[in-house]
Amino acid sequence: MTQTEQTIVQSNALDELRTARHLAPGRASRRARRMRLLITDATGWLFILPSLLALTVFLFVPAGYVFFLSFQRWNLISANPQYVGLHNYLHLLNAPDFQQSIINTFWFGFFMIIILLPLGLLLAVLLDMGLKGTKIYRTILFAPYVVPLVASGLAFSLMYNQSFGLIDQVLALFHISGPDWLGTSTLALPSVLAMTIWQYLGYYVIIFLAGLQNVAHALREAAAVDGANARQTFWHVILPSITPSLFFAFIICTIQAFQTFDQVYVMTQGGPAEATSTLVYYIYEQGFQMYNIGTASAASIVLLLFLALLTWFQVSLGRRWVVYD
Amino acid sequence: MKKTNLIPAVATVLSLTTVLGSSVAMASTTHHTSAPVQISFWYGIGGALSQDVQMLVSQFNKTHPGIHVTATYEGSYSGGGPEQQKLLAAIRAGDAPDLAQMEVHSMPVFALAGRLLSLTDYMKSSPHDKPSDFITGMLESTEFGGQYYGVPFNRSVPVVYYNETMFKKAGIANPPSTWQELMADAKKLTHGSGDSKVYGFEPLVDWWPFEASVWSGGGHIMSANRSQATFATSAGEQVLSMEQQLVKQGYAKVQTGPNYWTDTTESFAAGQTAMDIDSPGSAEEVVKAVGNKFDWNTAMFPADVTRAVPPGGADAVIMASTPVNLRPAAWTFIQWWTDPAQSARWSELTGYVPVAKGALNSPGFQAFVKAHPYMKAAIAELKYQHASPASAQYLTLLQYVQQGLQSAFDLGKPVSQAMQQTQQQVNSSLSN
Amino acid sequence: MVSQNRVGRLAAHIALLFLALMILLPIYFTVISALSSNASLFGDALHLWPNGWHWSNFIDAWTSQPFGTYFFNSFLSNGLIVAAQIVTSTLAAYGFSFVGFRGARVAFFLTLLGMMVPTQAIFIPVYLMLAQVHLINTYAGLVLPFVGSAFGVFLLRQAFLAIPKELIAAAKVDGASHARILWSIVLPNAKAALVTLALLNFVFHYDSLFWPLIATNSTGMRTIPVALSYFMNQEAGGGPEWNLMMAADILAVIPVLILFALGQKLIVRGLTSYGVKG
Repeated sequence: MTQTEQTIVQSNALDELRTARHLAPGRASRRARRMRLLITDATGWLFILPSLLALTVFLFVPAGYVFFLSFQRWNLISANPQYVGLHNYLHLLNAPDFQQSIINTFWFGFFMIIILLPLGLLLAVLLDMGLKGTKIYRTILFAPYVVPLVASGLAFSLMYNQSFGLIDQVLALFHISGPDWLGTSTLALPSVLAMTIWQYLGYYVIIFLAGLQNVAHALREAAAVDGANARQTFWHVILPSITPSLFFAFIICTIQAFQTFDQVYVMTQGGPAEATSTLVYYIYEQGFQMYNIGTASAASIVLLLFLALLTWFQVSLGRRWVVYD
Repeated sequence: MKKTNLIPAVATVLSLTTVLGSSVAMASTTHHTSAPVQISFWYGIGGALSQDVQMLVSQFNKTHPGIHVTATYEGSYSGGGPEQQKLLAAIRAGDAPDLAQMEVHSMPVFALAGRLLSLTDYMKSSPHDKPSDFITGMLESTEFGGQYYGVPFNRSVPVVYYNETMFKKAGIANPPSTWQELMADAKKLTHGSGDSKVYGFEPLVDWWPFEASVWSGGGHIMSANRSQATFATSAGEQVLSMEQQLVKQGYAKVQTGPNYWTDTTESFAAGQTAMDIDSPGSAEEVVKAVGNKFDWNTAMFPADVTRAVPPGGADAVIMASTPVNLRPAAWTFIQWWTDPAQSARWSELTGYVPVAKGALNSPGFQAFVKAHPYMKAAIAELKYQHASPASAQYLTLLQYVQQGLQSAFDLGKPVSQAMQQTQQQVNSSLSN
Repeated sequence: MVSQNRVGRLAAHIALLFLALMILLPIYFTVISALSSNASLFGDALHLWPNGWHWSNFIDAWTSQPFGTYFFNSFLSNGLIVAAQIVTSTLAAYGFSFVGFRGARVAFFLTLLGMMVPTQAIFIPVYLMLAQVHLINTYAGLVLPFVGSAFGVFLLRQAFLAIPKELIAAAKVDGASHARILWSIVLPNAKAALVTLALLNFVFHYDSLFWPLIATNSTGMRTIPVALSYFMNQEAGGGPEWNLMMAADILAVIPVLILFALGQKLIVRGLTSYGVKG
């Protein structure tokens, strides 16, 4: 093994932590040994303290406060939060716009995964063939990843414009009257998706490329010698050996889908009729456009639950699904 | 809106010097006791309008050596936009500006929470901002519990833009004054097909004209005690249903995309629609885009059972957190801005409606109206202004209404169904 | 093997070329639009070439808002974020990799959870906390929430584990302190990973809109993405100036593209090579 994806396929990482302890050297009296262990513990915690402190103050404490706020009613400027029990959660259960945002988020994630993963893998395989110009292709494919989502959101807004956008002007050449891409409920989310795929595709290509390049070429050559054709080599040699990459890509893709905000904010503001409202956009809308801090907090807790579930899934299933070594 | 190229350029230079100037001024406070009073002012109109604001502010600073106003664009003020979010957060942070431009519908959220300074006493002793100085109806939306919290700053009311050339061709003598007339006119004005089809009408899919449509039909947006939304009644839906009927029959088109407002303005200016609903603030843009292609004018928002329109635009407010010693300076700035001289100039620059009788009667403005007849309808309409419900949750209601309108006009849901659902959502949120 | 198949190679070239063109098309169109007059953009006809070369659009875009200040702010705040993250992540990654201490599993799991929490879910309390200590609309307010990076800890830890354990063990036997091991063995061996982290996180924070949008409220503190987002704000009467918007877009992207061009090799190598487990 291993490569990029292990940075985040933590199931393995957690296992490794146990072995790290064996690095502590020495054979001494039990007492001295215990002392040394205590010092080691203190040293270890000291090393992780700055990072842990930062994460605690700016992630965990706020998350706890969000949990508190999810049982309150508050608009930020009214005097004090007012306890309302489970009211905010009950409200979410019956709120069609909240449900719409959940559906949109899953829809978005689903299509991101089924488009980005196969397409990214295909391109990585092509780039791994040692073709002329591979570097240029790779550079072009990866470039959009560094562009701010706000910037690409604005550029795509212009392309999607009904009266003078690129897409409808091209369609007009074929005498097709193009639709209002971002202004039609059924087309708006797919349009935002297309822009997101444009943005992220190169990143997935790089992930898979890293995975592929670590599949020993010897292994492939061996398969070739054994008379396997390209397709067989792909399905039986390459694919199994890059499952860690696939799993990593799957997780990252899901996270990205759950955090989708910038492009929606810039391109559609969640509209029309909530067609492009994602879970995170809903939180923003409730909290900062309607000033319902309680509802926004309850939705945040739902989001955190989804993400915690995903973490659990990643840790526990990652080990079973992914073939290492 | 774009002016000649010179103005933005000058304004940019001026705004840059303002920024530089303010830091110099701040640095100098430590040295001189007579340094100007520093006033912070947040506003929410971008682009060319922002440059107009900066230009006027720097003019104020030049003529008032004792006061220095630093004006900052905080993102759009429209419909719970970034400026309001900033204000809300800044109030919580104890960091609020001294002065702000506040969108008329956002007033209740801040006024009812006691975050705005009552301006009643200031206004009563003002030479030109006495409540009686304003055009009737102008202060409707700034009054809470008998106190005035805002001075009209840049105001508008929704109007109908109509293509006079097309009206003449269709043999219609006058613009519609009721919704029934508008329906009939739209049908007569629609012609052509395919890409060259001209639609008789284009309603603006926005909560602002929605307010007018509910009131015109005799409906109420909220109950008298403001605990419930009540717009989903046949009276409240009447005008919307007429609009939807026009759309479904092919006599009207609608925009529901992210730039729906601009797109609506542009399709009128491009001659793709014969009538649309818009703000007088768009007039400058229409003038530029239409050129000499056709004649056009504006008419009052049509009446149905009654005639009632919401105020639009913004008021100037002083935050309650503004230190007592800064309040007079902040007020001086508002006074200067609403002085007939500036007020008329501001309207000419921006196309917003003058708010004081003084400005309206000033010879300069009279000449301006003569040269720009499309300002007349909005001015005549001012007296029909109707205040929006003074609920701290009104912005929530409007957000949901916007979604509901989109589902009616984009998804084609029947108006009654869309509004019923919207009302349920609003009420569920209100009771929460 | 696939690579020996001529037809296969040709098909691969065609596929790659097609996708590369699809990727480039929006960029090309953005450049065209940035060079056109705003009025010509509203024309119905498709134009693949700018209507005149309006280079002044870039100047107009630059002066429409104080972009110099915004670039300075973006670079300063994000530079500070990355510097802080490198320090905290290096220390934590070292602790997790080479100090076998009790509680490491729990601490690591917490860090892992931290990577999942999006700013958008917790921004209200973070805002309130920073407001309490008057750090909203300051550089500290832009930087502090991000001084810890869970991703950085993972990435560096993985890189550190790739360092031969014998090296570390030998140094320990020689009585080298942790500081010395970190400074003279671990860091020199993890350069690629450190640069990768710096580049990736700089780009990530340079690009992000959400927090700077909320945490800044004076022109002097704003960052590039916030300025870009203001181009979209619409009020009655103010149609967007698409050509200036696209010009500003390009100006905003140039710094990250340069960084990317300079660092691409390192990013790719970093992503591909540091993970070899001993």
